[in-house]
Amino acid sequence: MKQPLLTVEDLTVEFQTRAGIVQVLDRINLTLHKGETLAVVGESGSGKSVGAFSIMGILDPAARIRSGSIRFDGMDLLTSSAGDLNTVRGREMAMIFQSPATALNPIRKVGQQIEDVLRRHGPVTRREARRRAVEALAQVRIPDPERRYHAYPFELSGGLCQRVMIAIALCCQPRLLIADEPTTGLDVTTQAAIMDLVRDLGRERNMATMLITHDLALAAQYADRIMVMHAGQVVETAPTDALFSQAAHPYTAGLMKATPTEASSLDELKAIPGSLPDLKGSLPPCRFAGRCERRESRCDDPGLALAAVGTDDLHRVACRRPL
Amino acid sequence: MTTPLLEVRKLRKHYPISKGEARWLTELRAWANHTTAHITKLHAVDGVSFTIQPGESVGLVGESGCGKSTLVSLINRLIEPTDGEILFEGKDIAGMSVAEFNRDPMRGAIQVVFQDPHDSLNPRFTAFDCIAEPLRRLTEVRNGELKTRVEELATQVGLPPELLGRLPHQLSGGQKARVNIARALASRPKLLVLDEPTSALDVSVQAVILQLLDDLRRQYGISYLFVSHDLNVVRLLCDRVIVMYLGQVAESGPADQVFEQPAHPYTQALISSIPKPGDKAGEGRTRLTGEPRSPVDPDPNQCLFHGRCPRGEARCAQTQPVLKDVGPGHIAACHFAAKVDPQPAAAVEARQKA
Repeated sequence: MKQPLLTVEDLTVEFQTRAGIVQVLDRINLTLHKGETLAVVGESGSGKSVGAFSIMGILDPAARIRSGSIRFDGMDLLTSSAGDLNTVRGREMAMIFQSPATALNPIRKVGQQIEDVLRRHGPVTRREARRRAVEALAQVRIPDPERRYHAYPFELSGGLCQRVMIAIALCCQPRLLIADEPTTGLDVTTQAAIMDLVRDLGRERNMATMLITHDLALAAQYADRIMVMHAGQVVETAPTDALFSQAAHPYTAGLMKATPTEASSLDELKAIPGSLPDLKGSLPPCRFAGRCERRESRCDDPGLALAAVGTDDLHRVACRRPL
Repeated sequence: MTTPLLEVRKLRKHYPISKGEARWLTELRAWANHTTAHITKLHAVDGVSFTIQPGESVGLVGESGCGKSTLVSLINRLIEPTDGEILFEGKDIAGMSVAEFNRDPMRGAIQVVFQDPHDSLNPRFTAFDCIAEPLRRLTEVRNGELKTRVEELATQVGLPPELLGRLPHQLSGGQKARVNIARALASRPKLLVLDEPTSALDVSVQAVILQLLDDLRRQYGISYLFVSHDLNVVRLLCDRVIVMYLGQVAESGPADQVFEQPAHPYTQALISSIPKPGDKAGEGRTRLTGEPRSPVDPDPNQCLFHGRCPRGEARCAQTQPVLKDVGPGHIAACHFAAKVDPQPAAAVEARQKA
């Protein structure tokens, strides 16, 4: 078996707030190989973005990593110095943030923002940086890149801004790309174009992609594997086809029943009862237990972990009574 | 045929925009030269016509910037139209000024649920105040009955009455959505305009809200104008669909038919862009390239979709297509839109199965 590019083991993250300690992530495990696309799916507040921020080392100061390790290509990211992290971040691993309108610098030309990244990560001449910035804009299929180099973010549409974000993320040819809800707030037509672009560039460069989304259908279409999160826990992880043919966790099945598809009728749609539990204070081993219809007394026993479903070692679920 | 609840005729909203020089200067120069001033205008909504029958649910789809929200504001008389008529139960409300309409009894009959359930609630109003506000302003309900009526409304939308004392930030997204819907229902409207009511909600909550909206429509016979860019949601809730592109109607027709057999290439691209589980390769789908054209002074002799359209032929660059019939109640603005099969074999089969 090949060495995975990214390994996260037993990552537990807490936030200290005035109201108490919020247990945002609970023993997260994930691996990501070269050229693979992993989708992280879950409702808002399930810890998807915090997971991504932990990997990038850009957590809020109020966050504390209780335990666990994050290894990227043999390097331990949690114990590395800030200087080492800075060389890896942006060059080896890059991130596309949720809303391009707020993530871009509003008072700098988009071309210069790409140059900033290039100049930070290597000795390039001014002219070379400029050439590569225009090239990066062309690569994300922005029409007329020479002219758009001089545009400010407010002059561009949402879809174009997101392409600029992708250009910034990809200009140093990273090996890992984290895309945090890259298409939320964009139109379906733009969404399709952006996702096709991310997928094609990923394939071209054999890049590992972590796609964070709340849209199960989108994940299904673009990811090789899907990891479902709920309230800071990984509840199920499986290759896309296996997950759709045989969802084992009640939460995954609930999400699928709640997502409108082409074929579903309104009566078939089923909401998941309840809402995310309060992550402050003591929590049961299975944080879904309070919303689950299949709950039993043994669900409250400690020591719940991901276990293989049947013989398929890639399909793992954290449930005592899987479907 | 009964009078439609809402009939919109050739509705236009143009925004003048300045291009370098002040408008008075342009006008002055034109006056001096004995010509008419050409003022650059952004055509946000450009000659849109449609009708909504009582009890009907109509979906309005299109990408951002196509004029959906402007149209919503126009129908709700929040902004003044440039030109055109809005007939509500046969009475033209487009001629009324915004201030006049606010005091008209008709105001209560058209209500809107805005896009973001959080931003559209006053942060200093409790849920009770939010729902009571339209009752105080638009109806005869007075203090004594106010409490019972608000509680009744809360129950209708499935909001526990205990939560009425809470402020918006103390409510969850789904609960805020319910407050918004209750507020819109307070004046017993005949037409409810829903501007992306579920786009800010998680799927698990979205399902309940959609079912609630459908129940309310059945129970009270309210008509809906449902604006959304989630086509799967529109398909679930709407009888008819209107597809807009750059301020104009590109296609409109019965929901099933538009989804089964889209006649306009833009609709085809929209439908094929919906992510579908299992469709991994995604090859063979209609993909749009480029960005929509600028809505500023569009060329009247060119198809609006020209340049992005996979078909794009010489004719498209010379004449703008007009809406033409492609099936019963189904129109499309494309030179090449073919007649649709009124009873497609696939659809009939699917219905029999169901």
